[in-house]
Amino acid sequence: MLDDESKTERDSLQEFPGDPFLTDIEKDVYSWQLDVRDFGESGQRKLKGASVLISRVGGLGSVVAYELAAAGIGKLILAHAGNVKQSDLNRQLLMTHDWLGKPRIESAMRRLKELNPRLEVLGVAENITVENADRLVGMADCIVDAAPMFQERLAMNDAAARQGKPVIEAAMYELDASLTIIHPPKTRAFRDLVPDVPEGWTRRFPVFGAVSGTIGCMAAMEAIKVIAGFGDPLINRMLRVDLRTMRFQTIRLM
Amino acid sequence: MQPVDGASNRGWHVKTWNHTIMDSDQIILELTGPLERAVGKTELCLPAAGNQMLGAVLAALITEYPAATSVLGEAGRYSAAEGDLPPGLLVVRDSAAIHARLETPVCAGERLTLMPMISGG
Repeated sequence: MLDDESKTERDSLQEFPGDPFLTDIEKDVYSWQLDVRDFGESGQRKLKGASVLISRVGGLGSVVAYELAAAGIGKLILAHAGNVKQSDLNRQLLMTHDWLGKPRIESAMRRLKELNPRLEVLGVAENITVENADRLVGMADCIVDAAPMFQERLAMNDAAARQGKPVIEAAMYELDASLTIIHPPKTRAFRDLVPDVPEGWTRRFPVFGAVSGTIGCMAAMEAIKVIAGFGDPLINRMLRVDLRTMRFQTIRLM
Repeated sequence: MQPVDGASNRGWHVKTWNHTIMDSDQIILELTGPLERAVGKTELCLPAAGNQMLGAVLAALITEYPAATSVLGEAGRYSAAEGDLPPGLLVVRDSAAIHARLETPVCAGERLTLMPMISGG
């Protein structure tokens, strides 16, 4: 049950103008989730009318993209540079052996269109930088941050804050993961949590695909809740997950 | 413990606590993510007597477990009387991330979680 304050926060996230009608095929494909309480056809139409930018479709972002495509999001903008490597394949579920040495973004787009041919997907073979962040953020209603480097997270959050767009902040390390929503001024800015790039963080981190996939599913669900306007998103709260002990903790960020 | 102040700094909710004497002579630190991996412990206890500053607690942690420097840096940076913590280091007290600084008071018997922000994708 939401209290009035939470309802106000939740409702204020409803800034997505698109609300197209569903075709008969879409009503059939999504019929099982149309039964979800507080979601229904209204929520499905909001998903269809929304666009989501995902920063990197690696271990975490690939699962976010897959779940959003399956759920019927209207448009995905995927930002990820580089070619598929063998060492990607333990976790980057949109990459395949037959695409080794070829652009990751093409593999991701191909797999997503196989799952949902109605999906509009724009692939950008770039990682987020200070230079391109405003342009890419400007293409989407909602952002999912799944980038491995803090430089990318800071650049994208700065751009999203300037444009008033919500960011689903998802991250993992070994068997730990964290998830929250950043949407100033309704929440603190990402720079309040991370003022600058932390010392000691490296490009390579220990990871099982099952860990990035777990938090990827949760991030996708948060994006669906924010876009469709139901449930109780992680506003001013951070979920901390320890899959080594299966301990889940919600931390207040005030 | 009772909150006695609701000031804020950079928008964080800040509580300074009117600490009562706890029946303990230790501070319990829970470590997460890269810090847990560096130290090799999920939880540890540091000796403490009465109130002290968070900076002194972190310096003691580094002294006792030098591997923590890979995340926290050298112990010397925590010797200042006041200042910011390293960027991205969350300190969780009573399930809330506090606006922690070197001068944040910590008392014996307290339990804190040191949670470096992570960025793996």
